[in-house]
Amino acid sequence: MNITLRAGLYALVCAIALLYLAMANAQGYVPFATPTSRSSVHTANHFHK
Amino acid sequence: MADPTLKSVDCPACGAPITLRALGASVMVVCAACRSEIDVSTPEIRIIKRFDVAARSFDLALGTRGSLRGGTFEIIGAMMRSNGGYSWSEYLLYNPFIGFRWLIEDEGHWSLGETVKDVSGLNAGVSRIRYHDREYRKFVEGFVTVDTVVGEFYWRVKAGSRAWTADFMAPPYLLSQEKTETESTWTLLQYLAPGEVAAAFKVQVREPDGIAAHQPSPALETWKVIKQYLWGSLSLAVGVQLVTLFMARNLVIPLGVFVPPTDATQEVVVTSLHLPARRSLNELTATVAIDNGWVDLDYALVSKQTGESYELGNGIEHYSGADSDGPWSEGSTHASALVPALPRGDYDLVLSTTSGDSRGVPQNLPVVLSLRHDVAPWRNFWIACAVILGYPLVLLYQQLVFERERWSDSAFDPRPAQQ
Repeated sequence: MNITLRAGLYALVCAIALLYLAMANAQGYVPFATPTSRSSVHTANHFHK
Repeated sequence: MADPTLKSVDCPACGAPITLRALGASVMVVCAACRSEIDVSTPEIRIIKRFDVAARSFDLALGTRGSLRGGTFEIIGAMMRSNGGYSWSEYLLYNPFIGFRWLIEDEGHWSLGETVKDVSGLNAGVSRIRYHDREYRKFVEGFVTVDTVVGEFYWRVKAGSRAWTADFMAPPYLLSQEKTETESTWTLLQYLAPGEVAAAFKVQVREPDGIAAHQPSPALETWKVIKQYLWGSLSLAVGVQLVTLFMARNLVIPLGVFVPPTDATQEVVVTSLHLPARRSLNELTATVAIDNGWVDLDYALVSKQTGESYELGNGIEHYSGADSDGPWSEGSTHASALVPALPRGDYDLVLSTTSGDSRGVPQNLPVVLSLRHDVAPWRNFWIACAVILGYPLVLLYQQLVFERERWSDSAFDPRPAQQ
């Protein structure tokens, strides 16, 4: 793989990392946060009885 | 019209025709047919030495022409040189308008060299040389011997000639001094990719073996190209994070004190709260004044608009005591949990707890709750930085390995001694 191709792939990886950062921060998203799943509306209604 | 620099003579040893390609510049020629060394510095050509050693084959044949670095050169001379059983090939190239150049082949590595005219300031007795704004480090030195010679040269050379050489490297360049009893010359060599030589002379060349003194490091060459992306991306990442920090409300919402019911398994709506941010990261913190016991907290933030529930859990345990080393404690009396990507709206916080001391007796201690709303996340920033820095770190490792292998062939390794 020549240098130009490697540099192009690296630029792509950087762009993806920056896109992830911008979108995740805007959504208030972080990986590996405490809740790993959201329960269904059906389950949630249980608490409102 | 005939080239005035060309002349054909007959070998006085075997009679084979010899074409002198650098007429007037060459002082001797080696017959390609019988390998006898012939003096051509005067009109009366004469044999210097008859060649009686088995002919040595070179990768590039005399008379081959090739375009290399802006000039078309013809190979007019070739010699095999060695240093303690280690040998390489040197070809003398000639272009009547450009002059002489050296093409060196060493273990499949190729270099193109030109004699340095201004040698002021060049001194082989030091470990570092500055030449044309580049610092060259000494790589190797020692005596070299001419083993085989064929073709014509602009100085008298014969098999068995010895010279002292010192090589200084600054990839992709190599400054090489050659010293005999009568003269001292410096040659500036530039590393050539094997493919460049193969294309120039239309020959097959072998794969390089090992690492040459002045071979450019592939990792370093890649780094020179990608470093702009690295610094640009890191700057943008810092910018995005600063905007995130600036925009985050970081609003602390006290949720009060929750006293667990006697029935520990009962789920209780602790409080209702409003989250104003469109989508936000939230940090829920619980503090329990517990010692030598544990509390498990199961939360659910239930949207009043959609009924969706966002569940999370936390464990708090704290133990303390004293032993022969003095007082000790472990664990903590508070714990935090992150709730990501919560939509704007009103929520009920539902909580159930279970607890116990070291004997398993439920504690039912009050739980102080608070929530930080619209917290600026850092985790995404560190993940992005890790991804951006990953490849440069791989290149750094490759560069270290490359230089270690390069300098393993040198007695002048400037790096700190390896343990």
